[in-house]
Amino acid sequence: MEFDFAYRGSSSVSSDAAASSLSFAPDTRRPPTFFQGELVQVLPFREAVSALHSIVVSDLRQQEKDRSAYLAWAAGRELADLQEISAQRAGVKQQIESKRVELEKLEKNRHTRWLPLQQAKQRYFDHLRKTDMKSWYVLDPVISVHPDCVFLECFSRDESSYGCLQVNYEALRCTGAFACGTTNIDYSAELFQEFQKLRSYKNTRFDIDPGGFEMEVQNQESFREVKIDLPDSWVRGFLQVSSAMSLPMVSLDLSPVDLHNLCFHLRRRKELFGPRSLRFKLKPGAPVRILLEPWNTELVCHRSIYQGPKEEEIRIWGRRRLHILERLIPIARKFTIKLLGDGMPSFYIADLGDISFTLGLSGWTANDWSKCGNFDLMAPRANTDDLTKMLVFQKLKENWSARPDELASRCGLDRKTVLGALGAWTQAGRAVYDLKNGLYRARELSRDTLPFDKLRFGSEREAEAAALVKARQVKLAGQEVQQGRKILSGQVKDKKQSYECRLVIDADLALKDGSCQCNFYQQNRLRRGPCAHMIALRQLQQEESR
Amino acid sequence: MKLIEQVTLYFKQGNSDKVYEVDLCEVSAGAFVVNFRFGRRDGALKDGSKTVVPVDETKARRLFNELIKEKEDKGYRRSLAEAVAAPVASSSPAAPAKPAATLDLSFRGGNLQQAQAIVARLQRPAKAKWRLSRAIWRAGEMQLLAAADLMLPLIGKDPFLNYSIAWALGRCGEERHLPALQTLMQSGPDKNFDTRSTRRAALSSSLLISQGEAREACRQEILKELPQPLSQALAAQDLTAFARGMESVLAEQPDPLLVENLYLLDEPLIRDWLLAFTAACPLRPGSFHLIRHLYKLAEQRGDAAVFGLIAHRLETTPAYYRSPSSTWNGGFHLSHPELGSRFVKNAELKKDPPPLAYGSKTRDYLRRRSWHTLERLGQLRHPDFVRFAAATLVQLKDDDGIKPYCTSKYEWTGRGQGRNVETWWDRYARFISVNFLLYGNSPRYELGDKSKSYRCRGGFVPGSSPVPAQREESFPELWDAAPGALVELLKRSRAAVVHEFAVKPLRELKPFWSQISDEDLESILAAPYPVTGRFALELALPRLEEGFRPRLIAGLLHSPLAELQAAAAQAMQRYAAESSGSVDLLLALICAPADATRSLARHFFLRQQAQPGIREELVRRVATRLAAESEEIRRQDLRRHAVELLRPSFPQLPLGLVLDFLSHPCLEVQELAAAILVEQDLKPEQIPPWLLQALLNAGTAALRDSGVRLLGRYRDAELLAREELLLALASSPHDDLRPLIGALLLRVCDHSPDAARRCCEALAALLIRGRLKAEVLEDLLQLLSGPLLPHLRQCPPELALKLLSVKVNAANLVGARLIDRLPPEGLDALALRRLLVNENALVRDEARKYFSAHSGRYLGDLLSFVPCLDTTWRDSRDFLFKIFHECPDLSAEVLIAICDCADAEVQAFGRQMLIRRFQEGDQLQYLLQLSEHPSPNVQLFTSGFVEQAAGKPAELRRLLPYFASSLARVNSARIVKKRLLPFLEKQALLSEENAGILLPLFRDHSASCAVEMKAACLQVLVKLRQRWPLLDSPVRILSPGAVHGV
Repeated sequence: MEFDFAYRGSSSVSSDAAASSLSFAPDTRRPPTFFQGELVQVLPFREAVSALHSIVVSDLRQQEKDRSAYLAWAAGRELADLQEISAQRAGVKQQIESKRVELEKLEKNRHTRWLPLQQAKQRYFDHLRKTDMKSWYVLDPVISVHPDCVFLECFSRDESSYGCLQVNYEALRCTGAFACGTTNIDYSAELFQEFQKLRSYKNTRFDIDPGGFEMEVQNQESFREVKIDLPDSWVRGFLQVSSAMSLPMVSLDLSPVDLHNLCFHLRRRKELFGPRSLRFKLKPGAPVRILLEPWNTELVCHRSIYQGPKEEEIRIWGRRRLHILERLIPIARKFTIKLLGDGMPSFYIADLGDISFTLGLSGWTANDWSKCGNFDLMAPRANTDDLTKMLVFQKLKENWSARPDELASRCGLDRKTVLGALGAWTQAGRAVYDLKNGLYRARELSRDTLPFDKLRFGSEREAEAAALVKARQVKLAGQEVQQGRKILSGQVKDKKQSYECRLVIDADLALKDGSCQCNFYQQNRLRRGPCAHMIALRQLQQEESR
Repeated sequence: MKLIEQVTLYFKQGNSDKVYEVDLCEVSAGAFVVNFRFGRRDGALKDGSKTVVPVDETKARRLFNELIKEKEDKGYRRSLAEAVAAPVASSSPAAPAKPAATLDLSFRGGNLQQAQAIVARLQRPAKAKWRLSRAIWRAGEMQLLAAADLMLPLIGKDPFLNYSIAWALGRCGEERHLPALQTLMQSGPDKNFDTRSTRRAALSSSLLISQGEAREACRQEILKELPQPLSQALAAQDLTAFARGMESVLAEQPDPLLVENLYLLDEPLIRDWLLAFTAACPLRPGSFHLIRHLYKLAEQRGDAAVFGLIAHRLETTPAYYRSPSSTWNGGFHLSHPELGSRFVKNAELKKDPPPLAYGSKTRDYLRRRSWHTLERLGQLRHPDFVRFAAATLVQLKDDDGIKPYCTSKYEWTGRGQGRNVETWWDRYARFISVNFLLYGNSPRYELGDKSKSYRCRGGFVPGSSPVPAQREESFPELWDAAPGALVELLKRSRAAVVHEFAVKPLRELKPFWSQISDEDLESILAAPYPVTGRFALELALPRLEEGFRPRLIAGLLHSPLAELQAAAAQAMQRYAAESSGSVDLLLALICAPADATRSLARHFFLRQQAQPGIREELVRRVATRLAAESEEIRRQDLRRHAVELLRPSFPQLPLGLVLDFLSHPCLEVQELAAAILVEQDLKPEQIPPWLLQALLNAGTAALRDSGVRLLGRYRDAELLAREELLLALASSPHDDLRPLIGALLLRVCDHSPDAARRCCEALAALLIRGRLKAEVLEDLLQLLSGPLLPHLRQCPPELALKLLSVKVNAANLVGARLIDRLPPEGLDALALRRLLVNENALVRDEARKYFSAHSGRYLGDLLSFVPCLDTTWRDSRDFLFKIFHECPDLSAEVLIAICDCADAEVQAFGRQMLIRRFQEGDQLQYLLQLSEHPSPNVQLFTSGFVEQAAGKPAELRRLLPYFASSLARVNSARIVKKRLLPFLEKQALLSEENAGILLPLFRDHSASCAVEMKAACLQVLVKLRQRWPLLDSPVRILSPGAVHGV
């Protein structure tokens, strides 16, 4: 999916001994959105915006080790060994040895001679990387100016972390004109470096540059066109996480030191095998207990008492992403955690006073096939017709934000219909749920309407699987646990043909193995992921277990 | 058993070709038998015997003779020749044929006997073995006029007979038969036969046999049925409107008879359109029926071109689906790439239009039909044979062939043994009609099983076995009678096998050679096949001996064969003078594509150019040829070659011709004109300004280049008057133009200092504006920093300032060369700062020099240069490190600003500088300001100043974020924590106010799971509780309870 932006100039932060100025270049192709103000709580803002930056650049997917150099060396070594063996036989070992030494020397010389070139090349690449940082990022953060706050949102490169920095006007005093709306801002690595220079003893201006929308003047830089081609999975991930926010969740508060302790344990030890989950053991009126697997270390948060109505135990994965919050520990008053369920997205709201920072994590860090068919956050919540949806959106846009009840009374609709419509807009990326304040906000993720149909499913097979489950063609025959692994078996009927399916799910709830009688599985095994029938069986099991 | 006598009898009539062999044998002495064998000639014969037991010789001889006589009475003859020539014997002498004299037995194909037999059959319409419809059809094929009248009484007896009559009347009828056709056209529906075919055949026949008003009336009937846009277009004779109308009509489900009707109209205007349609119409459901109808009509109307085209398409286009070998459950299962896998009911196929068409059986049938049509025409010695055969052969292309391949089959020879039999299949094995025509009498090919392809025989292996010298085609005598068709084939065919075939009879027909015109021979000479080339050369050489024959030399020039090209060179040499006067020949020389002829052309034109009288004509013809060429690459190539050869004659060509060419729509013709224009001796004032403008703005580099060359003819002063034009072109988006214009601009600048200033300022303004393509900016940069630099240096100093102040690299690079020309007030710190971190080394270098030269101005404001330290350019960073290092008095602001930089190296430098330039009185400022630094290293550094806050509650309160941040570092910053905790404890115990400020820190971290931190915090909390009991502390001290020992 291609996103086009046009920025006039670049975002910049300039600072001298007495003052700093943050000037963001907005996307000029969007409806004018601008703001001029002065930052009051500079240090919390600096820390929060740094956390936001760590989300933008975060990529915790497992990187394949590059073993090509070793393999090349090993191949060469093998040849040398063979030569040596044959040389010993031929009695010319010494000769070969001397030649080998000579060759090594020559190779070393060659390395020395080529080194400046290699270094220059590396410097050039570094320079390119620095100057063309755009290619290293995915989507510029989205900034929205609303009547009560300004908020910045971003999504990580690994398609797993969502960040939202919300600044109220107590922390960001408006000193000039502002226009509500949403726009993308030009963002670069230098900008992050410049954020680090923010200090409370300097006056700090915060502008979303209204000049960006003026006509170009002579002798100045022209508009900079930026085209970003985002994978569909990225956009889908963003929408999935943000639409998960509006679902009912288990909420608990953690004191900063508890999060510190959690991060401390994770920093101290490195797990070598699974499960790599956090188990939140919640008992009403009792301290929150967090079990860190696989060490089974239990962290008792004496200062955080669970206030929920019933006992819960929820597991989440991808816990190393919580390190993003480390910088916020000293300045946060508390962290509110919202959990959706096992392997489902989770949200962490750092309360920094007039600033709040929301970190949303998808179920797992890597969205690979092994997590296929776990949940369908993009499924329509309620059948709401287009006219009603438009009405709700128009009413929402009048004040830019509203609670569902308030919207229901303004639209003259019942709460359920309004929630259905808002859910649909959230999935389409045109509204967002404000977890902290419990209200919906109008926020258009992109200038153009996102192709929701294309994003509804991660793959064609997922769509097929959903259709099979909906048509009640899937039958879960058995579930058994063997050596910590859950084995599911069942039948899936597809086009008059019945297939026997079997799934193996490991302790991390990831699909590890499986089989099916269909042609897709026979041809590809699991190389291209599970077949539609296996996904369907998994979806059914998820639904039933819920 | 000894053979005493044997007689073989032949019978040949129509399709029947039989043989009857009778033997008289002696089994033993005095014992004889009479045996016979009979059956189709060349087929397996059936055996029989007249004698169950051996008989004596007399009886045997009697039986033998009786049998022979009986057979001879039935029409068998002793020899094949006799059998062919024998009149049809009537099996029933009671029904003698009508006297032939009363009928007109004229026909176009076949022979008298056949004509008589048909007439006889039509006169006896009673049921007989030879079906009446076949006789009628044969009459049509033979175009037997006498048969037409005999058919009329048969109308209405049988639907299929009606159809046959409707078809045959078109071939053998006359205008007086129109009423009969009218009757046939109104034939009603029939449950066993699709009478629409009859109506269509009758309509076609009506048009064929009618003339004048009757024909026009028929055409009007058809025209009425056409969609209105088409009939209007035809009435207006507007081919474009017709083609447009057809496109829209065909796009929406056209009438199935539409194309057929158009064909029947026989309108010359749309003949080419029809041929193109026939060649392109897809053979698939929805459109195949159009082609099938055309195919049958073409047969009836003797339209060889359409027949040949469709026959070739059938040979080359695979079937749409594979027809089933059998059906079950009233249908068959179909697996098709487009239609998927499904069951097709037989009833479905009868729908109109059918969902399937052009199956493999249909295709095979139609392919066989083409072959049989050709064969029958040949057998009838029909004059149409050669036309149809030539039209079929001319469609064959070299590309149609495949690689010869070999198949092998294991054949049992009996007694449990067998052998591998290899069969070779040549390139065109699957073209049965073509093979039949080319190799009907060949010793190397024969029709394979199932009549679907031709295989090699007699051990012939394609590519390695020698090709027989004899003629191999079917009906050689018919070809001999039509040598013109062979010449036409040589001219038009693009298949080697066809040329090999056509040359053989032509070689034998020596008397005909003289009738081949020079024009035809020219085309034949240009053929790319050696066999044709050599034959044509044989014909051409004697004629060239006789005198100058430009057409023949042109043909030789166009031949791709080296020996023909050599012959052309010799001829050109021999007739050099005459050649230079022949436009046709010179044109051929220019247009000949081969390298050898190109080289010949260069030598020829080097020695002598075209005669003055024909130069203009030659250039015109070259332009026409250029415009006619379809491929752009060939047009460009021809244009380049022609310009190279004809350049010396360009100056003499009239300007009017050039202007004509320039307005020609073909780009290459325009380029030719531009090349001529450049060579002409034109004075600047003769060049029309509009022409110059048009050339400079033209779309191709060649045209623009000639524009610049013409512009270059102006004197310097005249160029000066076109300064604005030159400046506009200097930033032209065309990469080829800018360097050329640069050279002209330099001339202008050298001529006038004022103009030089103006030009430099204008070009610099473009750079400053910076909104041009990177390539344009690069060229401007090269121009201004290269040849124009001396002029640029004469410009006012403000220009340098502007160039250096903008954020455009190219402008900065030019500005860097003018840095010594800056005005006295010079660059401000901000601009210099930007130059110091510019990505061009030259700019940074000049900026540093400038800084050093004017250091007095900038050293007082070093704070402005601190952000530059964060640059990644090592040279500028080192330079600034040196400046800061050497500066004796750095203020606390500067030092803190250096520490505040983002780069760790600069931070380290800042810390060093701070230690060196440390001012006692600034310590608290260092502490308070550096405490906000997010870096752990600086936090550690700052902890060294922490004592400055001792006993100062206000400062402690300000430093709280620093303390919190340092203590909250996860699993790191051990030293800072160790340093801070005792300090904080001391301060907390110092006063209650301090304790109140710091207590939250201890309270928060007392819940840490880091044991050291937790213990330290708890200890402090206990102490604080003891010291300040009223303080709101989470710690409660419990008195120890009784311990019960053992």
